[in-house]
Amino acid sequence: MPSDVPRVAPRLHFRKLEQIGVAVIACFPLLAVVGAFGPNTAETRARTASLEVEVAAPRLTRVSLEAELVATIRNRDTTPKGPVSVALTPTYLDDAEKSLLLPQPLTPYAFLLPELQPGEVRSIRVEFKPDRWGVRSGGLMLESGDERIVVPLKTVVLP
Amino acid sequence: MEIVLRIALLYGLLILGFRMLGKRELSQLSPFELVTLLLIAEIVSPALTAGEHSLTAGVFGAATLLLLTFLNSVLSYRFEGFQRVAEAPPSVLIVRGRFVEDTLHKDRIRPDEVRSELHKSGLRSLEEVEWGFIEPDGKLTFLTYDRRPTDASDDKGAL
Repeated sequence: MPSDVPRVAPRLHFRKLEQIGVAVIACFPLLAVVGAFGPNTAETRARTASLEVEVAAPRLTRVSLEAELVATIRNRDTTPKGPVSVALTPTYLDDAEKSLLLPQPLTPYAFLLPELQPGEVRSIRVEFKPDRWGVRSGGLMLESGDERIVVPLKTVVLP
Repeated sequence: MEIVLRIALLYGLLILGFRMLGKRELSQLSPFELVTLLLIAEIVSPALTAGEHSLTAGVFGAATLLLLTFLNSVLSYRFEGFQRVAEAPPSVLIVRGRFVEDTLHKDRIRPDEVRSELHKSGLRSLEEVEWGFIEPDGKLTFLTYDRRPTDASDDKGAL
């Protein structure tokens, strides 16, 4: 057998450029693991004397990633309430591919919920995939009789 | 986060898979092996990103892969045990002009393949070889009696 090479105890030593490069490269998966690149959801609540709405919408997402907006409306009153109209700012969803809108909207992004019984909960659900990166701002407007709630929406879409 | 985990899992799986395939498969691809590798790429690709096409996912996906490659090299250097798992050690194929049959069987090398590699190294017969090895990358190297190292990959030309 040919003679073996002398044994050298392995000792890790990195070049300066390597140290910087690895640190920079390592940042990306680490940030991804802690959710810095999304997707994550923001929950917002608002209420009037008889209505309460809770909106779960993406705060940070990425292009082509399926996102979901769910608005849950509850009648807090002891008497029936309704009908309740819910509308989303068109600019919030214009640059997105919509895959699901529940219930069926009356006009694009406007829904009408029939009478809500005391304590009854109804929700609207919109599933969409943002086509372009940027900041999407808008709001969800809820109206019933003289009561009105506006919930601001803001979603950052990464490229 | 999911993409980072998917890449890490598939990277580990493929490293182990290629390690188990054997050394020869790494250096010489038969049509069957080439087709297998191409199909693996096709199968694994959508699983890596879960069908996501965003630039952000591409950036942290690539960074994850680079980091894993770097960690693999660091761990292989620092820990002998890890290196043994990640990379096959060289095997003795020829001793003083005779085949080590066990190596031929384990690495699935036919004698005519060795003959062809000998010719590429400018050697006429097995008797000229004192030691022959199959290296971790699957290449065959020969040491002649005058200690002149030969490497089949040098492609010095056959007879």
